[in-house]
Amino acid sequence: MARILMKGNEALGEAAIKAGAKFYFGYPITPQNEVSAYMAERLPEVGGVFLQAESEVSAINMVYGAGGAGARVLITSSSPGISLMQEGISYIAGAEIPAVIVNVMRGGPGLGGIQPGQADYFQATRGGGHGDYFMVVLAPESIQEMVDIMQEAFDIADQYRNPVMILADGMMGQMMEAVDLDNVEKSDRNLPPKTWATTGMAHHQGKNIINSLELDPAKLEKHNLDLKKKYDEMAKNEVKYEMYKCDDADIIAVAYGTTARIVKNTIDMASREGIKMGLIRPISLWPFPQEPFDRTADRAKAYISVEMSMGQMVEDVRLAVNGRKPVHFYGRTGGMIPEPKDILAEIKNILGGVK
Amino acid sequence: MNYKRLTVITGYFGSGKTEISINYAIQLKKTEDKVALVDLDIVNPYFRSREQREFLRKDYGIKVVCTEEEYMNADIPALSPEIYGVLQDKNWNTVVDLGGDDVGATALGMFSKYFRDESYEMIFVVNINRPFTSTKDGIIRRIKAIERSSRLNVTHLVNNTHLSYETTVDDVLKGQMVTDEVSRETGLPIKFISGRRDILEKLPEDIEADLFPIDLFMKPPWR
Repeated sequence: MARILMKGNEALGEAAIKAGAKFYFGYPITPQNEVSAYMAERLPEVGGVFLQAESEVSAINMVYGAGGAGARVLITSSSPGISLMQEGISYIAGAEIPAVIVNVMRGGPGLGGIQPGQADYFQATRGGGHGDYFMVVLAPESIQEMVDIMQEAFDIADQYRNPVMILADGMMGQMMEAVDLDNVEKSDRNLPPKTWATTGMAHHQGKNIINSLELDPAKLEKHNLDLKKKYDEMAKNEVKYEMYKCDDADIIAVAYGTTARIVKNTIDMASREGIKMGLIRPISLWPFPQEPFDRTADRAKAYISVEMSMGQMVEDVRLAVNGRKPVHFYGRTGGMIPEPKDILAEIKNILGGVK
Repeated sequence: MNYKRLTVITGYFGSGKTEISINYAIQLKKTEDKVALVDLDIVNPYFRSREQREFLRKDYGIKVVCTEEEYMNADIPALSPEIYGVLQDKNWNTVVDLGGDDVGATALGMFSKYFRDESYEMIFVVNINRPFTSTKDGIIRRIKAIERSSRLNVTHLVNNTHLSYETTVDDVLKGQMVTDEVSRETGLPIKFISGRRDILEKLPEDIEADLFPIDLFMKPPWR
């Protein structure tokens, strides 16, 4: 098939099917409803199951069940809905169940609004639910990358027996772009067989029990230490980023998703005015990439985190820069989108101050 | 360009009906005094013609009829009572941007009686680069679904086959072949081929269709 035009939300669904997902559970919320509409039509065609749950709480627990039985399962929602799912996500992490969760973020807090946002960064990268856990969080900047990342997300989930989150925003979900769904690169990961899956006594020796309850503190601590080893492996192996025009940049912006696209546009504007600006685009938000900061900290005069939030990723940028250079912030929030000219004005401000 | 007082632009999302609606209203305004654009999209939360209402009013004198401003992002399928005005008052030339496939077309059903009182044009916009409308049969199935829920009949086809910013002349030509097939089977005439100016300029001269070049208004924030 040639390239076709797809809405981000539809592409999420089709990419998951291409990655082998047979189950999708969800509950409607704007701006990601097209995923449900698409899956309702497509999943039955591939022998899968689409089910609209009675709430996000039940939807995420259906994911626990399907993932626990060893199936590839997708769930999507938007900010308030993802908040409702946090208990289930913590259980899924505790019980070590692979699943892919997509948050098509909108403006918050609370019910907020339906326009795009990036203010769930803390929630996504710091666990979100209770207890010591992490998940790999991936942030695509285009529909094609969203499709490619979906395959990767399922592989990562299966490799570590851990939930993976794709952090998109309303603009990524609603916009349309040309995509190629047929040439998605398959990873060469050696995925372990799911001998732990609860598929019934006919399929394995002894009982397979999936549970996140452990009342013996010594055993629970041991479980946490084992999980920690897994998170360390994820942190070591799953870093992804793009460096854009960083080589001789005086100022380096840090941005992901929709905001990264806007910053790339800003970089072109800046270069027309003789300003050397670059972009570090974390594709994995957790683990947060350290290397591009180590490679640029000598040369760059300053960094600026650009977000659709009041300043969340900027904390990780500060940790990565570690005092070597000043770290600034520019953000719009509540569904407002940063404009290149305003980002550029801020950049000029900063560079004026540096000189 | 031939046109009726009432025009409905419909199609599946991604067909380009909002862009065509805006451009069509601008075209009408060149010859008509009173032109209204009704944003009847109750499905899509982003990229709707209502986002251009100030610009269209100031720069072109086009009245955009949509959900009142304070409810624009309310995420409820609210319609403005002003719609009755521009449909009934024969001084207005009205273009209806009917968003969101057959589900969205339901919104038009309640106004269908105003369309039965006088002749109208209902234009189905074709983009074969979209998953569910890539073939003749897929397109005809969608036309019928929209006719059922809107309780109106499609009168014309438009080939607006595109791939967003990556459209080529080849896309338009392939789209024209499929749109021709739909036209032959349904008897619906092709009103025009629409597309970005720079693409339509490259079409072969012997192509048998009117051309309707459009300017793009629904841009992502980095364009």
